[in-house]
This record gives sequence, structure tokens and C-alpha cells, in this order.
Amino acid sequence: MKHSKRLEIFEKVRAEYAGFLASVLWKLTGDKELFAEALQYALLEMWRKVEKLDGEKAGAYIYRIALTANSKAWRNRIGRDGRAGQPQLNIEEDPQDRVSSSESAGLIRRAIAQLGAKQAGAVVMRYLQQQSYESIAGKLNCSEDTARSHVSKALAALKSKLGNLI
Amino acid sequence: MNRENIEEILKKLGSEDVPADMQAIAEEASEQFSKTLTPSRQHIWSNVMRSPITKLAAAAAIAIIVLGGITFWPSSSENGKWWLGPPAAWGQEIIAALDTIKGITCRERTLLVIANGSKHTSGTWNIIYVSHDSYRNDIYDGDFLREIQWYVPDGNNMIQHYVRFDLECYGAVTHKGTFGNHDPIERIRFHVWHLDKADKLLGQKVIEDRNCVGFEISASEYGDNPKEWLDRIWFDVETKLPVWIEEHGRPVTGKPNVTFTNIKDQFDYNPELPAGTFIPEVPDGFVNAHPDEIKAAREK
Repeated sequence: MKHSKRLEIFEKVRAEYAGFLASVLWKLTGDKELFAEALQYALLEMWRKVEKLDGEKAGAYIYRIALTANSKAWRNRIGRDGRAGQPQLNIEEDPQDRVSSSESAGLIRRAIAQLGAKQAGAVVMRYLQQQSYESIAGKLNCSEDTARSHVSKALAALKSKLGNLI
Repeated sequence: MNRENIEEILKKLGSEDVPADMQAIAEEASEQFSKTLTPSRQHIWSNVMRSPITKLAAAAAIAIIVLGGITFWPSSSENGKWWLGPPAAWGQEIIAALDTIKGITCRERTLLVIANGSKHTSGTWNIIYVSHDSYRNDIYDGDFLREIQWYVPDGNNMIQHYVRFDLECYGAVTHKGTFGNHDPIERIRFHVWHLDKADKLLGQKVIEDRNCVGFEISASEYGDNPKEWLDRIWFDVETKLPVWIEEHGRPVTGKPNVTFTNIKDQFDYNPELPAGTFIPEVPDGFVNAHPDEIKAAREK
């Protein structure tokens, strides 16, 4: 595809989804530095995959791009295994400690970044974007029952990761 | 923490609006990124100095600088080591640098690697010339220019014209696909797209009198390829343009114990080339025939 055509598609998609990208990435990062980095990754990936964004499936691709960008930005901060830079919560000494609401949100964001693509996508669409299961199923290219299952498994995974932390 | 609490926090996150300063950063970054995609990118530093985002971010003590849509962290940008910053950032810078290139020449060599570890440099090597829509391949056998191939667009296909100086013949072959399928600059772009998956930072070294930084990536990171296929690419620290590219471990058809390494070096960007560089030219007396026909005739 010619550069000029790629540019044309990119600009169209950028105009259409800029607000969406900013919204999703802010909700997933909640941190200025992470937000800026994830945004860079997302824009770069949009340019790389611009051919795929020229059609009906653009919305689904943008979701995928946003989630991947978010995971990359988080991975740079916390490491591939999610262990680097763990918050200093001293949870081993007193598991009953409760962290503040903002810290809880931070831990959940961090945990979402470590979920698999479909589970992360499902939980983001359901809770952060308040979408119906029908809409989620459409974007994940699966049945409504499967979409529900992804959401449920994502919540279980988050609970498993955060059980002792929050 | 039970499931209900998690759902509650998730719902709360979902109701959060993007703060105005983040919205501003997003809009500015998106605009700047878009500008880097256009071929004529000028006065970038003056744009940076005018950017309100620069001031905003500095005030926030995060000290990010939006440079052509790219975020640099002080730790990497102040000491000039851009490659230590986020790959998304410098990857885009490299692509932007490549997008300004109107033409390239480089040398291409092949190194055969036998299973016992011995290496053999192929006797033939190429000089590649690339323009915006055509390219030319000069194939040398030692010091002797054995063949020139010109690839010129023909609708949705490419026509490969060739002249064999050793056999004194010429001809043409049509290849399916447009120039994009053959463009070596696209191949370099392909490498750059995947540098964020690089397995190893090879550090700095001087190549062809230029200070370079290298990366290594397994081809398995960008396709269904064996892990042993390794790509190494070295960039000029200053221009961010490739100086040396190696593709290791590629198989040789019919020789399971042999692999080859393709090496591209001696890059010259935007060289001044003679006007006729990309125009096929047949020397007087050469015949229009396939090389195999000439060889067969000579063997009789």
C-alpha cells in the first residue's frame, strides 16, 4: 500500500479513535508517565497495522492495540514477570492490612496488564467501557456465552492475583 | 479482596474521565506523531522548543519531552543514548529517518556456514541501488562485474532486466508484485518494526568510522521461524540509519548442513547517482538470450 494511502487511513482512524484511546489508556494506566508511553506504543502500532484499520473491524483492532500498548508500558515498568517495582505494602507481616482506594486501583490496573489478551479485553470492555456482552462478543469474535466466560475468568484471575493485596 | 470489591473498583475506574492535562498530552502527542509520518519533517528542534507540552511535562517533574510525537526520558536522551529509552520512541525516529531517504546504495555479501563451524565467504557479492520506485543489483564475482539487474515497475508487477557480462547476453523477466515486495528499504523498516522485541542489546562499536549501536532479534519473534535465525542490525548513533545488517542461520536449499548469513554494509544514503543508473542499458554485440542457452551453446 502506498505511503499516501496509509497516511490517509491513519488520519481517519486517528480522528475517529483518539478520544477512545486516551480514555482507555488513562483508565488502564492512571499514571502520567505510563499513559504517555502506552499512547506512543498505541500510535506506533496503529501506524504499523494501518492496513487492518481500514474496515469494519477497525474498532476491534484498536481495542487490541490499546491493550497491547498498555501491557508493554506496564511491562517496562514492572518487568515481564510483574515482580519488578512491587509496591511497598508489607503484606507479609499483616495480610489484613487494607490499602487505600487509589492504591487498589493501581494494583488492579497492574494486574489487568498481566492478563491474557481476551480476558483483558473482555474485562476492559465490560467494566471500563460499560459495554454489553453482545458488543463484547462482536469485538472478540466469539459468542455471548464465551464473552461472559472471558469476563468471569478475568475476574477470577484478578481475584487470585490480588486476593492478599487488597 | 472478593470478586464484588474488584468489580466495584473496576466500575469506578470505568467512570473516570481523562484529566484535562492528560487529554492535552494525548492530543499533542497524537498530532506530533502524525507530523513525523509526513515526508517533510523540518525544524524539529524549534517545534520542540515551542511545544507547550514540553513545559507542562517539565513542570510535572516527569520531564518528558514530546519530540515529533516521541517521548524521551532524561536518563536516555541527555546522555545521547536514545536506544535506552522506550523502543516505541526511537523506533519511530528511525522510521522517520528512513522515510526521508530518496535512495540507497549498499553492499550485500553471503557467508556460508558449514555445520562443523567452518565459514566460507561466497565469491559473489552485490552492490544494491535503490530509488523511490526502482532498484538495481550489480553482481560481482570477485572483482569482475558479472551481471547487472534492473528492477523497474510495470503496473502491478516488476520487470527484471538483466545483462550478463560473462555470457554477453541480456533479457527480461516479469515478477509478480509491486516494488514494495522487493524494496530493500521496506525490509529495513520491517526490521525496525520489530526492534521492540529485540532479545539483546549488542552495545556500541565503531563500524565504518561511525559510532553504532546494535540489536539482536530472533526471527521467531516476528514470524513462524526457527529461533536460530538471528538478525543483527547496527544503527549510526547520530543519524539513526542502519550501517550494518546481518541475517544469520538461513537455510540453503538442498544442503541441510549449510546455512548462510546475509550481510549488508557500506550503506550510502541519498547518494548522487548518474541519471541513467536505473535505466537498463545493453552493450553493443550482446544477444537477447537466457544465460542457460548461452551456457549450453558454449558447452557444445
